[in-house]
Amino acid sequence: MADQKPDLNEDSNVLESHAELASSASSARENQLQENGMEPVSLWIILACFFGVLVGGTVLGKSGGFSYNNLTAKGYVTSQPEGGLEKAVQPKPIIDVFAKNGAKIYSAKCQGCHQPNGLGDGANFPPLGNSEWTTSNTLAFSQIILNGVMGPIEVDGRTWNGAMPAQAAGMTPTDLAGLMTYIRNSFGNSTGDVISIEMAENAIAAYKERNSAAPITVAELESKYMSDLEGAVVDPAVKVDPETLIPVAE
Amino acid sequence: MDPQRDTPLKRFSSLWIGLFILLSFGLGALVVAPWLNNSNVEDEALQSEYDVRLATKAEIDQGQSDFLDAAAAKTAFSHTAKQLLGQNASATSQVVPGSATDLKANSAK
Amino acid sequence: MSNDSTKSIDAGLRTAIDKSVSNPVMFFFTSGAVWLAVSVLLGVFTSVKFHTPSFMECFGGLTTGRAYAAHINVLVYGWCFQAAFGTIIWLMSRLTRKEFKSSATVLVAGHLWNVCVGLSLVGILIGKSTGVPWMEFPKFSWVIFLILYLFIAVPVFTQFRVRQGGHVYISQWYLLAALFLFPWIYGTANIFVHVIEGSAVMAAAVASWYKFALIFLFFLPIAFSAAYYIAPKVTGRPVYSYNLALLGFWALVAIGPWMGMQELVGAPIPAFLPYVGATATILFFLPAITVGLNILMTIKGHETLAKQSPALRFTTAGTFGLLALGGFAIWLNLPSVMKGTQFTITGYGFEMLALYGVFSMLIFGAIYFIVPRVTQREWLAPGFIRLHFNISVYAVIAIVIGSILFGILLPGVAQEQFSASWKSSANANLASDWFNTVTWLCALIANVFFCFHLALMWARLGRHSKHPTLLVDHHGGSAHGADGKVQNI
Repeated sequence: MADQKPDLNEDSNVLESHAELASSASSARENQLQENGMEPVSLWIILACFFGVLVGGTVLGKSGGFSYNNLTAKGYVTSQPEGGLEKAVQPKPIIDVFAKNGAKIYSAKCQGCHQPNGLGDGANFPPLGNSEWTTSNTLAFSQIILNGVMGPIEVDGRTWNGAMPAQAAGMTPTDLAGLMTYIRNSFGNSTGDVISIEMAENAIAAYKERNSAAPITVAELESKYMSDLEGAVVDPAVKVDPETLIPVAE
Repeated sequence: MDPQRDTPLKRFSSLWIGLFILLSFGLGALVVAPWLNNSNVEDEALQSEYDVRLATKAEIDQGQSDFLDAAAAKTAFSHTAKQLLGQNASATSQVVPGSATDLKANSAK
Repeated sequence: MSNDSTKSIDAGLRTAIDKSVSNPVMFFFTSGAVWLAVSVLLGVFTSVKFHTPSFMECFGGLTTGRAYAAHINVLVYGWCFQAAFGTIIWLMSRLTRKEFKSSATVLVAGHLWNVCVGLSLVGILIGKSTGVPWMEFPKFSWVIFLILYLFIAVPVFTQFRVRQGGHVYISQWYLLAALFLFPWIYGTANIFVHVIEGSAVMAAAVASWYKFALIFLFFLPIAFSAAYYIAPKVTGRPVYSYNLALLGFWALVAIGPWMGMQELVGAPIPAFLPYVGATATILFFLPAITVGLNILMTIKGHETLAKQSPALRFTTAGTFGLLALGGFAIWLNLPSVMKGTQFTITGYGFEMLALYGVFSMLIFGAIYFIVPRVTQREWLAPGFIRLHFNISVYAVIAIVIGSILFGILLPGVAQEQFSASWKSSANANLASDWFNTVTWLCALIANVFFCFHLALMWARLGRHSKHPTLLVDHHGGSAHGADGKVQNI
């Protein structure tokens, strides 16, 4: 009856009817917010929390102490993998070690002209495989590398007229030995021998003795340098430490 | 229902109490900052080395700037540039490895 | 007084309160949704850049670094903060049973907040970011944000002090805690990173602490307060256990400040710091499980209602997300697994689970409850709400599988192989990066519908109706007929 004639009805509440008119439908249908749920904290939750605290405490224990000076936690860095350290000092045959070093030098200095496959470019730069200059007379070969070559040179049945610059700058005996070993055992060459560091040192000494800025010519090579480098012959199968190049006793 | 809770004094005090609580940590941090050991121990130890290096660098910089004659440099650059511009490009017989000529010769072979 | 009259006076009071906060609340929700859209777009762009760096190279200035910084910062300072503000204001006003008198102040502060976020976003995109994670906005912005925050927070605190009645609701504990903790966290972080010159490595540590403190001591408490309001309100049941709520609250407040430095495990900072952070994040399991179970047990028995009411649906999903977050908080911080969170996308996935999977889902629930009351219209299309919900859930699942699980299992494990090259572990990132793109694409689709729907409500184009918009199956029949055509308003 309150909605028919509110003013005339004594038990109507103006506050109420105003509120009814002023309120939105969504507010009217809302539930009251209740908070007083008194379920006890379940034992399972306490156990789960205890488990969490246990795991957390274990992790804290791994920190290695409350110290501002300790910057690394014990055991954080994984230990070396199995056989990892041993692999580093695995001795290898000297011919493989030298050839590997030589390959690096080749790709840095030589492959621009002589190509990665050692075939040269067919017009200016001769091939290095099956060439007498690389496979015999190691002294001549070393002087070609160190001094460079000018003028006609016969390789693979053809005459080549290129100009090879000197490669002696920055070439250590180890580098030279590795380079010569590599070339003499790749691109179709298979001399199977090793140019030792002693031989390379002799080669560099001969280069210094020549003491000329001009590249070497075939005539000069044929007159003075057609021989092998002096030095003790090294058994190519000897095993060495790849880092120090020192022979390792079996 | 407690209408007496909402007084202007209450609102005024809430403003300042609120501001104080909200800003207290920041103010505290700024107050405490000078007492913090915020320097790097290693940096301090190496400071003498830094000083030597920086002194040397300053000396070098001074010497170089003293030697630099801007007017002469400008003359040199403009003269060289004119010379280069005056030169014509000419062909050379040296074949650069990997150039078009070289590759053509290779593929022709 | 009769129960009916109390109810109608209550309804009138509620409506008056809703009217007093309608402007700031709707403003914050709508502009927050727009920032969410911007952030999600940037997120899609960034995630594609992770696996296809040449994507849209024509925009030379928009590199991965800038897009990622913009994405995160707009997500946090644009969407998360504004959604939080809207929720705080409405919840505090309702729970103090008084009209909110400072709407104008808050509204002005909100508009200035938008301006500042916009300017700072432009600042990042042109290259002026500070490079500090989650604090990449240019240096000037932190002071402005702090001052604007004061203009919003102090009126809310005043509202609390002048509240009607003595009882302090569970939601209010969380709101007050969040309100006070934020300036402490924000001020401390910015002062020690930007103002006081110290060791740069410790500045990085402070930044990573800030990240977690912001999530777990500001955003999540506000989300919990929304959940603690919606769940008992919609179901009409009391909260399952008051003691559990007490335990959860104090656990979160005690544990939260210690979290954060586990991101820097292995960095040249004192070793105990990351491990303390890891322990605290593991202990987050406590509040996660207490709050999660409390809410779920409140909803238990009302599963149909949880399916039908959009607010309750999102709240339930957010609570499950919270339980997942608690579980991952333990797993990801075990020392053997922690390494995988450093250089992989896992850390990002965990933060996104917290921000999107928990905070955003719970706030969406609050928004779907609050907006009809504040605009006095009902939501227009249950289909939009359903799409928003389903695709958001897909996005969260993609975060969990792609970023968190794949992030550890593939690149994390690959990075620990000493014999393999680093490059091969970088390739292992592809799976999680593609999943990340899926996540943000899903979020984009969901957000398009949400934004559009919210914009319609903001323009007061919602349904005039006594009946709420529920996600019912129309086979069950409803007052609006099989097609939703209005028959009995």
